[in-house]
Amino acid sequence: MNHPEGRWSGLDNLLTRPGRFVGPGFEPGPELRDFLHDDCRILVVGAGGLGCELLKDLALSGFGSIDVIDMDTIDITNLNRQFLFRTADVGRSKAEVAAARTMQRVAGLTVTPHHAMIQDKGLDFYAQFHVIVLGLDSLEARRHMNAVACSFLSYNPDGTPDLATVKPLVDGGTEGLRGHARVLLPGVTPCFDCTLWLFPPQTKFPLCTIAETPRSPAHCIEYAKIILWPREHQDTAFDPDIEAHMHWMFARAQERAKEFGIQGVTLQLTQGVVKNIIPAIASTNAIVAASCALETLKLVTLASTGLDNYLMYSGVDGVYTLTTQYERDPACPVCSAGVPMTAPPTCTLRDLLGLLTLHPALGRLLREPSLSVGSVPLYARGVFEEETRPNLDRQLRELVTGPLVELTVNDKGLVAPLKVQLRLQVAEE
Amino acid sequence: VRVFDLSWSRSDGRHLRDRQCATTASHPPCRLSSAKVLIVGCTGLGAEVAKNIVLAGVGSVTLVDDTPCAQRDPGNFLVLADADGSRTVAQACAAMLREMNPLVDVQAQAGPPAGSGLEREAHGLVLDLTGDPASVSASSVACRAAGLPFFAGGSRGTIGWAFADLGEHRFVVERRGPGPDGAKQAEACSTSYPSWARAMAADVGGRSLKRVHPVYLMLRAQALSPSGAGEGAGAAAADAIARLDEELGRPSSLQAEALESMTCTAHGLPAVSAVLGGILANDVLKAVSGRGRPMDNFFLYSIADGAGVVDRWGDA
Repeated sequence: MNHPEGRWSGLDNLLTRPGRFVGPGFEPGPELRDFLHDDCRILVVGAGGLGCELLKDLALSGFGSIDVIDMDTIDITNLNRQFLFRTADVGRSKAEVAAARTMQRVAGLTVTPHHAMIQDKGLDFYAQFHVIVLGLDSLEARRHMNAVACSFLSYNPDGTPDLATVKPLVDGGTEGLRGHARVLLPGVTPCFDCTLWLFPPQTKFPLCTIAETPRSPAHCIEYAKIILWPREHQDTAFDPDIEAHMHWMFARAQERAKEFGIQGVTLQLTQGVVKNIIPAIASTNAIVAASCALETLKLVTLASTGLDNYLMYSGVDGVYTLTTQYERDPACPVCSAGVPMTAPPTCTLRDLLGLLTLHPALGRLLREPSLSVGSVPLYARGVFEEETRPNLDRQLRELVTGPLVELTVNDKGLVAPLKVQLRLQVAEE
Repeated sequence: VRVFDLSWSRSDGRHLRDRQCATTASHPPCRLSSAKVLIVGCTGLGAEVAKNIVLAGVGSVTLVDDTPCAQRDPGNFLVLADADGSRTVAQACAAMLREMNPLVDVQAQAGPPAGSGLEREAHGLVLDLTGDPASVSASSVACRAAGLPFFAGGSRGTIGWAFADLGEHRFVVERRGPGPDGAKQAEACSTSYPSWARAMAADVGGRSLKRVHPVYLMLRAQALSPSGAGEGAGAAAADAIARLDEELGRPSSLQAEALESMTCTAHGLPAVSAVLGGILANDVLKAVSGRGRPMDNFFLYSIADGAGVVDRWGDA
């Protein structure tokens, strides 16, 4: 493999010279590039529009060991932006093809593909990586990765985050001519759950989800509208006001839903959904992914001032970018040292469990919680349920010593246990 | 709203149309698919812009750059690691781009990037991505004479820049109407763009130092200095800025030192080229379709501020 002379000279200039715009603790030297190439491990989550761009940028930026995970296979509709794929690749695993093509372009690089769902990998898998970079298209997937990254975080006895346990996440997202890049340092910057209000209810869907892995009735309806209609009605534009058109759409959406075992396609939903596909453009993915790759490079080398902490891009009306320093929610259920709660000492354990499931921040994360104090279970589901059941009717003052107790809350739906800082206090009349 | 353009009928036309549907949802297909774009300079930035507009589905792209592959910009990802070192980068890029989207007519034109006799009249839009001020200046003059929309751009070290000269440009911007369910309303707009020459001669003294981006000063200095875009350009730019400061009677601009370290390498960091490439490509799509406001008239980027700045220099 031949590469031009001075292939890494740009990177060397960045990493081996002191400068004025560097991160705190930057130590220039050739060891940095060696670290990037030999020891640093990066995980790219998603091998689609953002993932292909991320792999290219990270590979060209000197990272030598990159893993990529994606459960999807390649569809024809991906080819207008997922540039590592060709028509002949349709049906193959995105992660595998992306990895192979990236290694073809950059000598001395290892890209390891994982054709799997992110939920199928355990915390020990994710623990291997220095930085995890997200090229995802859904809020649920982001929240899962957020919970994973935050699960590694510990707090010092003085309440400050233990910086050695901070697992950085870099997240990118795009939609047409708009996008964002953000840096998540658990315990330091806000995590996803701290800033959930940034995400309005999703009403648009990525095209690749519609084409290959529909999961909801809306995906099936969009498939009928954006793929099937033009195929079978080349000269006629779809008009939602024409009854025959709408019924055709509904019938096709139902067929698709049946094929994938999805419930819930109704005529009413079809009518409500037939608008607004996300246009997906290579150039917006390029901007956002490159920003994420640069932030990853800066996180690992400290060679320049890092993004703090959210960059928004809009190309609709001119070119507009805005960097915002969002703040953590100190009571965040996912990344804080514990969600504060108060209960009277005479409260029973059963009632406390009830309070937990009704709690505004915790409630949505819990279905059937188990509780413990340190390693001592108060109420456990499963094997110890019978043994701990009598505790349900006991009062808290019999079970724990107050006034402040750190509870560990566990639940099947959680990636890792949550903490609650419970204060035992008589309610004021 | 019609999503597909019937002119793309091929034997397996059904599938080929499907691949473009996501892009065409936001840009009128007929204008995009008849756009003929000329890209001068197959640098890392050139490769990024070419990739983006080829994937989006322009009609044709012509590449001009006779640099042999063995001496290519290492950030040019279109050229494979085991490419034949004696082919030109234009040829290697064209081959890869044709694979990426067989619907687009991609050609490599022989000859050096900054040559005369380029058939600019055969194209609808020109991009000079060489980063060489002499080439940019010549391309700009030729495009103005032929009435062609013109973009330029470059990336060096940790900085990048883009420039647009679309002459008298008319376009439509869609705005959401009042109320929570406001229907989209189209607003007709127009902008008069200054030429590269005017942009390089704009009055710097009238602005406070804080509002003059160091990358713009670098472009001014490069336009003045004879060493152009070579290895010593950073130092020459720093010198020229110091002289500008003196002329304007200002305390020495701290930017000069920063600029030197930013620009000492000839090539841009690959991720910087990717950001610039995305910005330029989105603006090409806007210019061709007449929908959305293109940059007016510079986009200036450095990884230290991370976000990039749009700035207007020069009177139309």
